[in-house]
Amino acid sequence: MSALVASAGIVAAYLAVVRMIRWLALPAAVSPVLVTALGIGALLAATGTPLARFAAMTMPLHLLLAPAIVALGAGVHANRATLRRAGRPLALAVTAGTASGVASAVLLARALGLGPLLTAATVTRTVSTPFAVLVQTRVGGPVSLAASLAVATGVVGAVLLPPLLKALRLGDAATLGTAAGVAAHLVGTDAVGRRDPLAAAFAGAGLVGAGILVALVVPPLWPWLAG
Amino acid sequence: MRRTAGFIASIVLLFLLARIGDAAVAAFALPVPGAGVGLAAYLVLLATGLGEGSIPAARGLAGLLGALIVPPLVGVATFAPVLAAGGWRLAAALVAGVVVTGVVTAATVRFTAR
Repeated sequence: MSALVASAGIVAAYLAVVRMIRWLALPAAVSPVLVTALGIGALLAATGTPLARFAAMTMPLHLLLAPAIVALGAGVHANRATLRRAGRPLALAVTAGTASGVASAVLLARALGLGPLLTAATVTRTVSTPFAVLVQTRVGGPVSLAASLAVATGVVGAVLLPPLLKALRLGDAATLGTAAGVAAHLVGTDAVGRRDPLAAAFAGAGLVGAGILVALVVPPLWPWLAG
Repeated sequence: MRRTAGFIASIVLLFLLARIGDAAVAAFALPVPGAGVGLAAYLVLLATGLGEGSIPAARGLAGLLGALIVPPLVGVATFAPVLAAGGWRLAAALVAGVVVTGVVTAATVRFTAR
């Protein structure tokens, strides 16, 4: 019961933050996911609630995540003609973006001397958490740290990419959407999708494509990537 | 009343597709998460013209994705010591990696279109 109340409270808080951001006409870089999480984090710290208890209390939201990913299919279906017309650039962009995502993660981790644990966790950080967890479990990597880095990457991308790509004149729905899906998975998809359903369809295709590519390519290359 | 029933049926359908995806992944040792397989199954279902009544509910649920990501983001705090040990170097790696990935993806879309 308390789990349902807590989960409903988080949804209500999130929707209130979304409305407040719109009402104050704040820039696209203000992420409602991040604002809500910071508010709840402060609340947990103030009340001394352990994170494990919070995780148990939000189990209903965790259970909704898989059906919500399935639900992205509705947006993809509604824009299927546009997506099909963009098939070739979309496929090439997902491939090039995913390759640069994994390569930049590994090279930056090594160049900056992040150490073996963070380097291993960083390999899967450009894909959404379910994909990251699956791959890290398969290769015996640091699963929960990798999931956290994936979420953090999504937030960084959701905050930085829309203003950056708009400044580079790469801000149309197909371009920004695909980039947000490939580089910042679900958080990026949510960020661009709240403003533009077509961008959400491209982002959904991008995040699933990138996830599948990483799931196929990373395990065989693991010793080389994380070693 | 009927709309509520339809909404609940749609959410149940999405849950079932996710579960079917999980079962397929377990049965065939597929290299993708169950939700990915469920999404593919949902697209096939919609392409056949069945299940189109579930689209409004699906859009509503997809619109709540942001709220669903809040708990895992709060959970990142579990790793605060490891992340703090990474310090500015970890932050630089995250930012630079996201920028490279996003720009490469966007530039590829732009310059391979047409």
